[in-house]
Amino acid sequence: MRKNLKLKVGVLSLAAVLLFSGCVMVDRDFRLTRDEIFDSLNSLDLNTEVQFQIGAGLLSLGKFVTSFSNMNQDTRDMLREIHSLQIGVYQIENHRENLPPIPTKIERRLKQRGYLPIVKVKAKDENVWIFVKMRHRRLGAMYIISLDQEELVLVELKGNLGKLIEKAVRDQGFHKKELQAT
Amino acid sequence: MLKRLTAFLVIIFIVTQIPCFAADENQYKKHPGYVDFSKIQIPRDAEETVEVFLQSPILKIVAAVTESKDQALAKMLENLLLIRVNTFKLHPTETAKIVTEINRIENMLHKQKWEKIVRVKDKKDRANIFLKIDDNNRIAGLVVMAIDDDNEAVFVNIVGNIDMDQVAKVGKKFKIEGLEEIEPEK
Repeated sequence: MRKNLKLKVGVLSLAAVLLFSGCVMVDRDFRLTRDEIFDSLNSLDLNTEVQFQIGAGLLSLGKFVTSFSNMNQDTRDMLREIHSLQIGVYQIENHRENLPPIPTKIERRLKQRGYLPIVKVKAKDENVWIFVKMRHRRLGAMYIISLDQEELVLVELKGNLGKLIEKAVRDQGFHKKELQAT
Repeated sequence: MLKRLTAFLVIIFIVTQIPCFAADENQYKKHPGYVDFSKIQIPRDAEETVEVFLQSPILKIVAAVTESKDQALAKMLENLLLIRVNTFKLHPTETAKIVTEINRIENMLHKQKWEKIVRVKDKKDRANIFLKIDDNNRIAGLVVMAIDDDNEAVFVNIVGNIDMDQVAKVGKKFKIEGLEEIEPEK
């Protein structure tokens, strides 16, 4: 009986940590930015397929697990600097023959929310835009918009992202093939 | 009274931060080394286009991270206001249009007294490099416009206080085609 009670308390505590540490639902900021983007893409019918946040709790767990892996120290250091990750995947219901462009008004709206564009890639089958946001003169957030004929993907990373950017630019450079691969 | 004073100081602090950052963001536009590539007429049928736009706040962060490995490069990155790279993968029939764009920008740069360094590799490969020298005899801007034999066009603008000894390193660090091979005259 005591063992059952302990087990229940343990499971409930874990669920509470996951739910209340922002480890499942996306936050208000992400939803507002998402809505701005949806509003700019009003010609597309978007249906939410997946939308979630990996917050501090789950990330700490992930970092603990990766400490036993063969991951190199640079990558581990970068992971340590990520405080939250939010992802949204939205299916495009009204498929088009041609890939829709990402409207430029998205850039204006994201700038109003403090984001700066750093990369824009337009390929045959995918458009990708990457924005960053400064916090206290540090790189505090990164926002990625990826649009292809099937779906819209939004990714937001928060943390101290300077090393991540530096590594990304060093490894991927400005060569478009590498940028598309990311 | 104390609460009001604290609120007032917080507001003043926040308001003073915004102009600092806004000023950083638009400073490059007024700089003599800046060239507005946003008006380049990109052919509609261009297969792929990439634009990379690194402004001063981002470059300072990259400089801080680079400092331990290469101080000279870090110092140059700190003094830059903008690195902008536009690349297009063109259909062979569109190459002539981009050459027209390059000629138009060249005429504009000549009028603005940019100095031209031409490096023509062969009939199909073409790379034009321009430097802007400011009143203090420093290099304030660099422009590279190039088309290679794979029909890839590259437009690069670096704005700020440029150290030509470090330009090739910037090209190698960020893998900017056209910059990697620039070597200063000795």
